[in-house]
Amino acid sequence: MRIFRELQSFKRQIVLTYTAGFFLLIGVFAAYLVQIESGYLYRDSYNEAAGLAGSLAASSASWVLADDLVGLQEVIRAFQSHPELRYAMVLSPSGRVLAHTDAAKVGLFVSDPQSLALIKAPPEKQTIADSASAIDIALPIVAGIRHIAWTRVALGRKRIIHNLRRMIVSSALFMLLAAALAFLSAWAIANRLGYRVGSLVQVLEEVQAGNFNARAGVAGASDEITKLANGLNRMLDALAQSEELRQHARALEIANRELESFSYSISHNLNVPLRAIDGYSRILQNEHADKLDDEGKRLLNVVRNNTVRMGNLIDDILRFTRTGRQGMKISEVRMEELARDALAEVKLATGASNLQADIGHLPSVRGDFSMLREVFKNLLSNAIKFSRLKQAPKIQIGGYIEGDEAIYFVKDNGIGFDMKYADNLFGVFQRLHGVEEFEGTGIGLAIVKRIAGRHGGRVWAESVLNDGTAIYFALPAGDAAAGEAVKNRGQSRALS
Amino acid sequence: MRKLLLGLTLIVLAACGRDGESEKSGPRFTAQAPEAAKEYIFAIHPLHNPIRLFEIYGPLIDYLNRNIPETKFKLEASRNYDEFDKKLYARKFDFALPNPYQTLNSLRHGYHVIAKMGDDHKFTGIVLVRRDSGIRNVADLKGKKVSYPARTALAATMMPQYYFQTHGLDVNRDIENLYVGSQESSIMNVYLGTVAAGVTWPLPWEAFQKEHPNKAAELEVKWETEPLINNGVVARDDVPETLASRVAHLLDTLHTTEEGKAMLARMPLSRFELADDSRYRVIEDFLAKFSRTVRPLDEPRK
Repeated sequence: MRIFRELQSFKRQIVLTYTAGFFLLIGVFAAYLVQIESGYLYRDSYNEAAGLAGSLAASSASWVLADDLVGLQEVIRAFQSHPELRYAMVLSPSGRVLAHTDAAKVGLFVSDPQSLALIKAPPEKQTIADSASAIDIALPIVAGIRHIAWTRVALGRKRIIHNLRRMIVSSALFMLLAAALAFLSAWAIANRLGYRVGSLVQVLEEVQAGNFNARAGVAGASDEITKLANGLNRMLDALAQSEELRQHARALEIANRELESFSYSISHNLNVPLRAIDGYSRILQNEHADKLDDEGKRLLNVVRNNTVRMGNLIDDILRFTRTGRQGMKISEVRMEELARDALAEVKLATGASNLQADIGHLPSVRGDFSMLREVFKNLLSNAIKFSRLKQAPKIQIGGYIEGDEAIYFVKDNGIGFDMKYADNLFGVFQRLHGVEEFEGTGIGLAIVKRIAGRHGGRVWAESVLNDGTAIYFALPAGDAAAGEAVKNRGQSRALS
Repeated sequence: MRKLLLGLTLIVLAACGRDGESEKSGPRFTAQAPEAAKEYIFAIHPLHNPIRLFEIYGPLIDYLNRNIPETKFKLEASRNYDEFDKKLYARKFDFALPNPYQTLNSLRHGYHVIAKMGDDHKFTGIVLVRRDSGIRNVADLKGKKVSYPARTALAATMMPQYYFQTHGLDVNRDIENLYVGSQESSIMNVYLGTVAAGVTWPLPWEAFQKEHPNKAAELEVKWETEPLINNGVVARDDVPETLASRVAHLLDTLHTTEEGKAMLARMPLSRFELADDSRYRVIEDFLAKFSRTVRPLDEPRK
C-alpha cells in the first residue's frame, strides 16, 4: 500500500499493478505446473522403483527358496540395464546379500543403520529413502505367508532434476516475456487514459481560475471518460447559468435597495415643500380669508385637505420603507402580552369604547418586538375601523402552532370583503373601500406583509362580505413556542 | 519492488519441492556376519516347484521349530534334482528328505536314515497319457517322446523305465526320453501333447488332479509300476544324535495330532515312521537290476 501511496501518478499505479499482477499470476501458475510435474515425476519414479522391486521379488522367490545364489545373480543381472538403477539386491532376513548388481558384495552383510532397521521391519513395502536425488525401496519376498528375503532397489533421479530445472528455466523465461508484454500493454493503456483524464483535469484547473467558459473535449470511444467529460460539460453549463442568475439577482437586489433609498429620499424631501404649502395655505386661510370669495375659500380648503392627505401618504411611504430598511432585533416575544398592549393603545387612539375584544392564548415566538407590535397595531386598527358601523363591534385575537409555524389571527365582525379581491389586499395603497367610507391610505396590510416576510413568515385573509374578516399571519415557530402547540391548538381552532 | 520479486522467486523455488537434500550414500557392507543361532537346513528334494514346496512343507518346519525351540530349522528347496544332488552330496544340508535313490546315495556322504515317509504302497511310478492319444500298449510308445522329471528320480523315472524295459520297450532306442525338471512339468507336457506319455508318481498326480481337475480329466493313468520304499529322512553325521532323535520322534508321532494330520494331508501322506539305513537295501537291489537291464547309473554329482 505504501508503494501505491508513493506512486502518486495513477498511470504508474496502473503499470505497476498490471505488470506485477501478470508476473504474479504467471509465476503462481508456473509454480503450480512445476509442482504438479514434480509430483508426477517423483511419483512415477517411486512407482517405477516399487515396480522393479516387485518384479525382482517375483523373479527371485524360487531362487531364494532354493538358496540358489548363482541363479539369483542371473536374475538380478537382468535389472542392470535400467538407466537410473543405482543398485538392486536381494537380502536374506538376516541381512546377508544373496545377490547384488555389484557381484562383489554377494555374501557380505549390510551394516548401515537403515539397512539394519530394514531387516527388523515387518515384511511389507519399505521406503528407505525418497529424496530429490534418489528413491530406495525394499519389498519382502514371501512364499505363502513366509517372509524369506528382501529385494531392495535404488533408482537415481538425475533425469527428474534435469527435467525440472529445464521446466523452471522455461517458466522463468515465459514469466519474463509475459511481464514484458503486460508492461507494454499497461503502458499504452495508462498513457491513453492519462491523456484523456489529463484534459479533464486541465478544464477543472481553468474553471478554478475563473474561466467558466472552459469545456472538456475528449475524443474517442463512448467510454466512461467520454461520459465523464460530457457530465463535466453539463455541470459547467449549469454552473455558468446559475452564476448568471446569481448576478441578475444581485443586480435586482441592488436596484431594489436603490429604489427604496430613492423612495425614502423622495418622500423625505417632499415633506419640505409640502410643509411650505401647508404653512402658507394656513396663513392664507387664517390671515387673508377675508380677501377670498366663497369659491376661493372652498378651493383653499381643497388644497389644505390634499396637503394633509399627501402628508399622510408620505408618512405611510416612509413607514413602509422604514420597515424594509431598519435592522431587526430578534428576541423572545410574548405575543399575548404584546397583543393586549397593542389593543389598549389602538382602543385609546380610536376611542372605540363599545368594542368587545376577546384575546385568546397566543404562543410566544422569536422576532422583532417593535415590528410585531406594529403588525398587531395595523391589524387591530383595521378591525376596529371596518367594524365600527356594527352595533356591537367584536374582535377576536388568537393564535396556535401548526407544524413548524406559529399562526396568529385578528378577526372582526365588520363589513368584510369579496374574496375575489383577496390578492389585492396586501398591496401598497390598495384599498377595497372608498376613502369617503373609511379613512386610511391602504398601507397597513402591506406593512404587515413586509414584516411577516422579513421574519420568514406569510400572511393571508379570509372574509365574508358584511360578515367579517380574519387576517392571519404565520411566523416560524421557535423552540420556545413548540411546547405550546398541543396546549393551544384546540382553543385556537375554536376561535378561528 | 525488490520484495515482490523475491516473493515470486520463492514461490517458484517452492514449487521445486524436494530441493537441497544431499545425495545419500548407499548401504554399507561388512564381511562379519551378525551373531545368530545355528540354523539347521532341512532340505526337501524337488517334489514340487520351490513355492509349492514351501506351502506344503513350510508348516512341518514350523512344527519342528516350535517343538524344539532351542534349535532353528530352515527349509530349503532346490530348483531341480541336479541342484539338490549337488547340495546333498556336498553335505550342505543338516537334514534332508531325498528320494529313495538319493537316500541310498547320501549314505555314502555321511548321512544316515532317521525316518521315512509311510505309505510305501504309494511309492510307485505312473505313466500318464492323453485319453485321446490312442495309446493302448507299451509298444504304442515306440518312436514317441516320454517325459520324466529328472534322470535320477527313482519312482518317476527309474522305476517306469525299468517297467518299460521289462514290458517290451527298449528305453534307450525305441523312445525319446525327455527330463523336464519337475513332476508338474512332466504332467503338463503330456497334457499339452508335447510328449506321448509323461511319467510321475502318485503324490504329484493327486495334487494335479485337485488343482486342475479339467486338465486332469483329459489324462489317464495308463500303467503303474510295482511299489518300492518311500522317501527317506536323513541326518548328517555331525548333527547331534539327540537332536536327530528328537526330529525323528516328532516325525514319527506327527500323525497322532490334528495339526500333524492336517500337514500330512497336504503332502498327501498318512504318516512318517522311524527307519534306518538297512531299510534302503531294497533300493540297492533295484538299482542293481536297473543298471543291468536299462542303463548304467549316473555317478552322483558332488
